[in-house]
Amino acid sequence: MTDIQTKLEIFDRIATRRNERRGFLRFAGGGALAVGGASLLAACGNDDSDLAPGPTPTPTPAPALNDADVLNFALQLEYLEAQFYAFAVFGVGLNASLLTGTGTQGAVTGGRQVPEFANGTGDAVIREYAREIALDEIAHVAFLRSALGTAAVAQPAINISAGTVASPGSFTAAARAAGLVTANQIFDPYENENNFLLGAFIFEDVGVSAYKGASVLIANKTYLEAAAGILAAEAYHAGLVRTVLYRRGLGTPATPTTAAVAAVPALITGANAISNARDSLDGTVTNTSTGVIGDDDQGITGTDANVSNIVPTDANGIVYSRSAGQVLNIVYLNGASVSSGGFFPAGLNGNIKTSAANA
Amino acid sequence: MTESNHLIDALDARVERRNDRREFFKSVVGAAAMTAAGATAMTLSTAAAAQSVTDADVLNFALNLEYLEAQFYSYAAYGTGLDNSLLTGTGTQGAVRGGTQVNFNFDPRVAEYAREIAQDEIAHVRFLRTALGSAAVAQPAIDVSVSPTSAFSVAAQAAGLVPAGTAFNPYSSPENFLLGAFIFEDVGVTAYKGAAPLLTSKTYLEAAAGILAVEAYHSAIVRTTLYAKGIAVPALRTSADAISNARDRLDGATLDLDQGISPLSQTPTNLSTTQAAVQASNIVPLDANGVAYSRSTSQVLNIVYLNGSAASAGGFFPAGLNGTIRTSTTSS
Repeated sequence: MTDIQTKLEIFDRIATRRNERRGFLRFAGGGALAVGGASLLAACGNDDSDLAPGPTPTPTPAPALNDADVLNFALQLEYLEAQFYAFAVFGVGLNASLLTGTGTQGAVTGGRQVPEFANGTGDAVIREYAREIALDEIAHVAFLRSALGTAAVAQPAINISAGTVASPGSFTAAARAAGLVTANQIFDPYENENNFLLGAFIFEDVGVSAYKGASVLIANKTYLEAAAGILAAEAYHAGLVRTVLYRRGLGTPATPTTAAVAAVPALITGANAISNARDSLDGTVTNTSTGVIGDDDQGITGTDANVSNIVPTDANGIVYSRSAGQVLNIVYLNGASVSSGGFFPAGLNGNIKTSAANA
Repeated sequence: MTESNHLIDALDARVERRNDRREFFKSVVGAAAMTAAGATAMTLSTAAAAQSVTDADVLNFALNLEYLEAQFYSYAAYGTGLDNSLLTGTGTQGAVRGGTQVNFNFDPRVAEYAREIAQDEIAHVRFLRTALGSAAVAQPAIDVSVSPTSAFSVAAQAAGLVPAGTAFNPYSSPENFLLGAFIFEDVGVTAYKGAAPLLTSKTYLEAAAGILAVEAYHSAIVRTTLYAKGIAVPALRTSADAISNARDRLDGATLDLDQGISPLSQTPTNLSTTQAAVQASNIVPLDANGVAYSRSTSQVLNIVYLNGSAASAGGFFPAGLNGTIRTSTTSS
């Protein structure tokens, strides 16, 4: 049985200890506290009568985020990634049972199976990588939904389409912002393996920076460890995609036992252009008071032609963090402070949904 | 994904694994908690209240591991080790045994990866030393040499890569370099993941999360390259698998914390239509929830000391680590 008082005392102690700039953390799942509640987060409600006496919370002027908010933010990024990979790899989207929840549920626009994945032509290992990543992202959706229980938000409307020249979809908009295609072209990430890799590249590093930025927002140690584990998964994914783009992009010379592989320069220039676009969207100025860094994205080649840049790191060899607002600048494809756009045409569900003012 | 796609298993696995004397936070999730019917049972028991590891202890533990990685990659990529100014500190300073520049002629891409990884690991050493200041431990004695009894060879023999009594040389080719690197990188990921919740400072936590991510990127470089080369040279995949199995034996049989790279047959679930099984790579070692594994400090030491029994030295650290966290328990 749940020892509610013990649990909440623990959370109060944790919360008191976390006197960071984000203020006091409440575990308000929005519903009434109920013994027998479906999940930890939904059950931690506002019913003070069940709270054990604890330290008086320090009031904070700004609305505080709780673990449920952070996990729901992550969940929606996972919805986006999972749907993109599910369609690209398997030609279908997520099961309807995985999409329900609070807020406004929306549909997926766009998405189709990459022909080389469907008919078995193309590079066999790239197909295998794509499958692996797809399965991982679907698992992340299921895991976060399980952790959140009834507090999980529904999948909002998602656009993962190429669209048309006249009516561009999110991928075309992103590609145009990056200069990959002109205003008279579309970018279709499902057209072939190389386009798929660039499409995947858009998301994976963003996922890493999002989870890193969120790591300091999660109070519950169990969820923190889980988030660290998903951070690691996204970093593995990003490393995989960037390594493939790099190696395919530069090609390899002949060896005594293998033939030379020709370079595909568009993969290098494409990835680097996408990185620059992400940098432009999420702010170019480093804010020393908030710690938010302007130049927080790197392409896969650096200044030294003899050294790869698979891992986007700062001078300490550490990856960058993004705030939720910055992540939303990128997925909304808008440097201004907005609540929808780009890959999320109706915006995110839940409490974290507004991009930062970085335009 | 199976029914074990479930927070309960992940949490139970964490509880099982926390057999350190420092466990300070346990969660036990009742089976019904995550079902639609819902039930109470997210029970939290207060753990041993005072945690006996400090942030400095944890960062110094990480620093020891970074010394090892940085030296291996620095020698492999550049033929030289770290400047002595980066090696001083508390405890007993030791020398690096071995280390040679790899001949990357037949794969310049791998050379480029080696340089990049070396630069990252050296940066990690600098960062941790700066964070620790005068509390930083010195680099202990490190063995990255090549001989029939060297750490790399003992590891390779345990994995069956080379016969007993035979040396394994991680510097002799890009492929051997990748296998040598493979020994470290996944361990680094699990080490940082296991240690992150031990940190109390949010600043250090964020930094540890950032280094965790970098080690995962590195591991992906190594695993992806071995996997792709494995089309032409299948032994590269099976060798990586064998090293993974050897790590699993060292850190205990109860939990499977390690995975090879060879492809797996997976049946997709949670899609809108029923799917047939497909063959997928296994670049990313994750549990059924898509979450990376954690290792306790003891389990990490089991691996780097190349000893499943309790030890304070051995393997890549012939004199043991410096600092507080340096003794493993017998793995189970």
